[in-house]
This record gives sequence, C-alpha cells and structure tokens, in this order.
Amino acid sequence: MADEKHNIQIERFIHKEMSESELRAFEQEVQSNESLAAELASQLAVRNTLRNKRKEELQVITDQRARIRKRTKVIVVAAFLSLFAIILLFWQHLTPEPNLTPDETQREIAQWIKSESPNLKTAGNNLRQLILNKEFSEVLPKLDQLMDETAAACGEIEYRYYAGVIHLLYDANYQKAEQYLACAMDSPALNNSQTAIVRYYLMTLILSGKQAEAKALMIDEGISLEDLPQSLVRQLN
Amino acid sequence: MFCKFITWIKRLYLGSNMNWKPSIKNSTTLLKEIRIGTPQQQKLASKHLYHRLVKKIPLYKVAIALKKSADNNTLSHDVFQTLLDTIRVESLSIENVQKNFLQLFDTKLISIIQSLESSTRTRVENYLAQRLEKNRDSKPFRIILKSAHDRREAHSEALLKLFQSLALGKFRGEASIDSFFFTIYKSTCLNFRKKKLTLQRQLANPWAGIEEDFFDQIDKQTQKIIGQQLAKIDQKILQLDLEQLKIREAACFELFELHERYGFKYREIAVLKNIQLGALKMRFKNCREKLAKAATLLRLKN
Repeated sequence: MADEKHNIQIERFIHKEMSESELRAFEQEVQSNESLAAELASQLAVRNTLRNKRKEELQVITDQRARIRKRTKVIVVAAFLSLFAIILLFWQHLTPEPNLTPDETQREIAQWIKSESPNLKTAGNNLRQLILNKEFSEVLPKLDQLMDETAAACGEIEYRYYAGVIHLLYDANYQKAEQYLACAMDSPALNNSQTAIVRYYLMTLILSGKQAEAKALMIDEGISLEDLPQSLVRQLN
Repeated sequence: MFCKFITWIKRLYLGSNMNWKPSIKNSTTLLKEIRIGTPQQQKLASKHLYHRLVKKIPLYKVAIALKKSADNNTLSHDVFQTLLDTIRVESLSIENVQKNFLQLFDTKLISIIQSLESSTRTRVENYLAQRLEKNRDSKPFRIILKSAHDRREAHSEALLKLFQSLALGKFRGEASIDSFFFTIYKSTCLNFRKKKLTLQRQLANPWAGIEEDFFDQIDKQTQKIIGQQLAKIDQKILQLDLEQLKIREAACFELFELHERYGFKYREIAVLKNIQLGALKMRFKNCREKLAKAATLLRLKN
C-alpha cells in the first residue's frame, strides 16, 4: 500500500503535477523516509540509464550519417574538380595555336620571294637557287647547319634573314625565326630589306604570343594593322 | 566501361527497379490523367507520380527499408494510396500534392511511433535521427553551442524530447516534423548554454544526464538527500541489469521504456495496453522486483 502511494507521488513529482502544498509535504517525506528517497532515486536512475543508452545509440546513428554526408561532399567536390581539370585539359588541347592560315602563308611566301628575287637570282649559288625554287625542306637544314658553323653571333646575316623568314612562314618554328630575325634587324648589310624584316619580326612576336612587345614595336616603327595578315590582327585584338 | 558506368548510375537512381522507365510527361499532365484519363492511363500515371513523389522524401531509401519491415505493408505506398483518393476527388496542384504527400508520410511515421510495436518504432526513430542529423552542426547551432561535444549531446537530448512529444501526441501536425525538431533543438541548445552542462560538470555531477527541470521545484536539502541515494547506484551495473532484463523479460523492459523514457503515465499505459490500472501497477511492481533480482544475480556472478 505504501509502495503504491510512493509510486503515485513519484509519478506526480516527475510530471510536475504536484501543488505547492503537496510538494512541501513530499519534501518532508523524502527527508524523513529513506525508502521513499531510495525508491525515487532508483526510478530516476532507471530513467536516466534508459535515456543515456538511447542517446548513445542515437549519437552513433547521427555520427554515421554525418560521416556519410561528409564523405559524399568530399566525393562530389573531388568529382567536380576532376571534371574541371579534364575540361581544362581538353580546352587547352582543342584551342588552336596562333598560326597563319594556309592562304595567308602562301600569299606571304609568294610576296617575299617576289621582293627578294633580285637578290636571290645570283648565278652559281645553290642555296639562293633553292630558296627561289621554294624548295624549303631542302634548304632549311643546310641554312641551319651554316648558322651553327658560323662562329660569329650574328654572322652570315643575309642567310640568317632568309632562314628566319623560312622558319616563320614554312616551318612555324617561331623561336628560331625570332632569334635569326632579331640579328637581321638594324643590320646595315640589309638596309634595302629593313621594312620587310621589321614586319616579319613583328609577325614572329605575335605568333609566339608576345603581344605586348609586338604592340610596342608597332608603335615604334609606325606599322598599321592593315599591313598585317587578318589572322594576326585577330590575335592582337 | 562507359556502359557499366551508365548501368551503375541507373541502378543508383532506380534502385532495384531497373526496368522502370521514367515518364517524360510533366507532373501536371500526370495529375490530369489520374483525374480524367482512361483506367489504363490512370494506372500508369499513378505509377509515374508515385516514383516522382517518393524521390522527394529525404533518405527515401531508408523509408523504403522501413516499409519492408512493417508486415510488407509498404509505408510510402500506403501514403500514396490515401493521397490518390484525394487527387481523384480534388483538383490539387503538384506543389500541394507534394506537400500533402510529405505531410501524410510524416503522419504515418508518427502513428508508428505511437504504436507499441517496439522494433518498428525504434527503426522509425533511427530513420528520423538520420533525417534530422543535418541540423546538428548547422550555423545557428554552432553559434549557440561552440563545442561539438555539447552539440552532439544537445542533439541527442532534443531527439529524445522529439520522440517523447511524438509518442505522447504533443505534436499537433501544424508544422513539419523538421520544423518542430528545429524548435526543440534550439531550446535544448539554449538550455545547455544556460546551464553550462559541459562534460566536466557532467562527470562531477551525480545527476549526470538527468533533466534538471523537475528538481528545480524542490529545496536544496531534498535534492541533497536524493543525490546521496543516487550516488549509491552504479550506473554501469544498472545498465547491465537493464540489458539482462531486455533479453529475459522483454515485456518488462518495454514497460520501463514507456514509463521512464517516453514519460507515459500508468493510466495511459493501461489504456494503450488495454489492461486494468491495478493489474498494470502489479506488473510494474513485479518488473522492479525482477530488475532488483537481476541486479543481485549479476553482482553475485561478478
């Protein structure tokens, strides 16, 4: 009977259903009756243990979920980064390198041969004859060999100029073209061809991606955009 | 290799139902077909709409796992059938259909929690814990409670409060479960901060983990006496005792869970279990004796 009374009191206490006077009486009883205090403590301990155990279980579940979510986030970010890298790689690969169009190349070669023909028509010189006949595949290794064999830094200036132009228009080796044409610039031996040399040097700079230097040279030498092939004008813009 | 990848993606998207081909029709057309289409069109359109709505449920895979346990009575399918009846009668927009579907789904979950079938209830609670995990470390709560440990504690405490409220029918369904939980979690976090319930304090306090609000009503002297009694009880041993009780006397353990963890009163449990109040109190008495006996046996064994 006393047990039942205690259980009812404990239930009402836990659910905060006691009036002020009931609560004071309950306090008095807890202080004087050790069995009631022990019963209350045991019920609270059971309650506490059950709650703590379930809390631990829930924490494990939520931790697992958080880990999965974090991992998914990492995977998604990694996938996006990989995709971005792949796109970038393909983009670089697919973006055309700056170059002259075949028509422009043909036109430039014809124009150059025409302007240089008085100098190239020298009897008995095999190299000049080959250039005049547009046999560039044959003449280019010979010219490169000659340049390598020349001891002076900018020796054989006339051949250096020819090699530079052929590297620019035929071989698309802009590094060598720039190197040879830089020597030919301001050379007193090539006074007659100076305008053409500057123009070809400018074209080399544009094609090797040195836009700022090319623009500065255009301003210095007073070369207008109309003097350049259309594809190079687009590169500059 | 590429085909395998596509199959993998498809399996991830469609689950086991690999032969399912999603419809290209928009949801409004599907709704219209359900309302005024031929029986065949209605059947197909309902199937498509069901698949679309199920995807709207967060962690729907867990939900599908749940429904399998509930006597093969597919949970989301049940919900959809209820909704389908409404769609046929009322002209609802797709937004309302989605909203109603989620509401009905949550109502179904609550009804499972309120049922006394312990294993399904635990599974639903676990599902809700997973679903509500995303709030745990969100910014507002990181501001209230800086320590991740405190947030973890507060979150599980809030989950227990939520399950208690759902079981006791305190949730009226005016907002979604998610919003309701947000409010509970917020107040729990604020309470944690107010009481500075840190790990150190918990370890030093014999009241560890016990909700302190009902102690606020009694004087310090009584609190001290109860504290002395509590200090005599070894919580680890009690946990082992309860484990033993769960294995040997599952019915007793369930009674303890309902009364002590969910906070059901004796008379409420009597109504739920459909037994006399006196008989229930007698059962409780017996269960407490069994727990005490289990404790004694365990101590003797050790």
